[in-house]
Amino acid sequence: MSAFISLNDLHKVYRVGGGIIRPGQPLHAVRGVSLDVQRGATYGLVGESGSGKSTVAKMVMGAERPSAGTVHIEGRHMDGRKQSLAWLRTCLQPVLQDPYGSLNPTLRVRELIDEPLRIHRKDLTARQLILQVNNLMDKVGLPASLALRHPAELSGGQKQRVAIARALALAPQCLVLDEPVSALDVSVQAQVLNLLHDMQAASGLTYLLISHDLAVVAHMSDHVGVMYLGALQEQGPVDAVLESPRHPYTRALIAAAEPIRGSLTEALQGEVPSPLRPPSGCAFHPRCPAATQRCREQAPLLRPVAPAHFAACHHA
Amino acid sequence: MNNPFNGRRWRLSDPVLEVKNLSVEIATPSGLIRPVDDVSFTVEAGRTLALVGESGSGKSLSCLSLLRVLPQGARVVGGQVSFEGQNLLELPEAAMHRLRGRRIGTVLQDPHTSLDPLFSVGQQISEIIQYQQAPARGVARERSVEAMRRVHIPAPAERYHSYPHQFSGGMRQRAAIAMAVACNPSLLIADEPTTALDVTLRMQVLRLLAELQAEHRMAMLFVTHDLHIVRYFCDDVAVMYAGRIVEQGPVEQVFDAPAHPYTASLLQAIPKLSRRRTRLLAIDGQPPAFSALPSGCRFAPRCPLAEPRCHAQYPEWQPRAATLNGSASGAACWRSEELLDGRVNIQ
Repeated sequence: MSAFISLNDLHKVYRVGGGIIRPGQPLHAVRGVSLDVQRGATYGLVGESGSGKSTVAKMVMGAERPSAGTVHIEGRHMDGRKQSLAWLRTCLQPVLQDPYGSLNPTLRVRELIDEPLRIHRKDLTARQLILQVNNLMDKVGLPASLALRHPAELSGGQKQRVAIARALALAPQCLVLDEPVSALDVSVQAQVLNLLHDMQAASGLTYLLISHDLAVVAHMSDHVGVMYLGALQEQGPVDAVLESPRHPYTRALIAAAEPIRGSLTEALQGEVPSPLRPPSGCAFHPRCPAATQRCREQAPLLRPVAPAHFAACHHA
Repeated sequence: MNNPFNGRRWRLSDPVLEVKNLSVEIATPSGLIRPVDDVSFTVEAGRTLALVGESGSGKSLSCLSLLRVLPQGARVVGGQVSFEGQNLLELPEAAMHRLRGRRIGTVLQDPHTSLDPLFSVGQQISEIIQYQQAPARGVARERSVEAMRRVHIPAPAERYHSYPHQFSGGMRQRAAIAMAVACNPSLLIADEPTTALDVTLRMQVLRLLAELQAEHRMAMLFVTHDLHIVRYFCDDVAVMYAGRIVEQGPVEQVFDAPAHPYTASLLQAIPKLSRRRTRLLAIDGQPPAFSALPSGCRFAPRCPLAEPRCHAQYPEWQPRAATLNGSASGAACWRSEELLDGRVNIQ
């Protein structure tokens, strides 16, 4: 079985603060990420701000070119050429965090949803378009009465449903969900997560889910990857990673996600270092309670610790 | 100072803050709305009350009205707020001015908005000490370095001259907390103080707040939408929905056996690490608009347990057995008793 999305040793380097004469300092946003997303499954990428998880998502969506490494979707090499991008749009669609920013405020719900169809499916008649939109709205649980509203008249949850309907318009096989529920209230968040869950069960969609919220990732994913400072620190099946985490950072994330009252689970000291000046050796060593001399000197590689379970820690 | 509620002098053992029947109205183009309606709670020294609710439930507005810094167009139309025995709603503005920052500290969600980018962090902490305590020259500076040390800003004497942009996000929030506690307030109002922070920093800031609270038995009003934090960090909780408190009580009691269907549903709607690849219990629909509130219980249109009387009449407060510290606990639900003894449940 081949993976739907396959990332191989992906790197992204930005240059920051440079001018005309002096090139900027290199900022290594993503360093050597390799992962496979299986068809019909959900891969959850979790990390704090600046961990590079959204940059990975952008490279998968074709919005950023990798500095090194390759992206394969359904076995096709995504080389950034126009043809491959056009094909990519029909099989993979993004749903972004902020439904306020991702929906054009001057368009009505109906126009927002049929826009991708009008661009990619010029063969459809006006009548077919209307039917399609009604169908999509029904699928994501939007009442048909909202079709002529503008985004400003919708609640946050409804806007996110519009964004999902729009992403589904071209019947993609995969959705890249970048913080899809972070902007929503708890009760609405549950509605959207359930919708995503049901859609996957019904039509076998593949999801790449990006979130800072480990509980959301744990809830939705079959596989999880934990990112810190641009690199994967641990990845594996969700049960393995959550029940026997091997990387100290994963353990800290789990402890912070559902802190237990009274237990003095070690809060991590310090903050994420600047990616402009990454620490020597293991990127996590300045904050790691178990760091040794070896961690300060030598960067650990992601290595298998159990079947399909990998961790980048000398002591895993 | 006499307590406006019972006419006797306020004593140290009395609650630091008592809010009774507070209501706030806002004039909108489509008429008057009441986003805070008949809200009552108390906060005692050394304890933390969580005010939880979704956006628009009125939790932040309640805090702003305590501080008397409501946005234009909004005004308090009823109720009493007793802080250390003084009715804050009747205090002259000058006296109020002296309470804010001295007796009542405030920490907001976004440290960017509470720090001025044009002044060094140390100067900003000094300013509030100078204003509130007017100590001798040089003393304010010493005290602000001390305040920075208390919130664990490394090398505080050197960082005194740093500007907010030179601080990381976590350090900025520490600096904002240093400003809030510089004058040892007896009440700290923290409005989503950790929401803008990453999870690992969130833990650090919560631990810092707990530490500061223990030093001076500070009372804390903690506004949040994060139920995990409430369970971990707070002593009592008041759950708000559409401008009203629907349930209140000690955290363990409310979380272990919620007496209001809204609380029960919320607790089941949050994803948990242990429940994987299942559907969540979602609450259908969305909160009502303040301009079109239902006539009975405001949660009734979304409530799985709603009966005809729920739609007809706003439920009376159903008290639960008084707890150790005697705080009011209960829920505004006609069916809370049935919910508590298991005759009905939320599934």
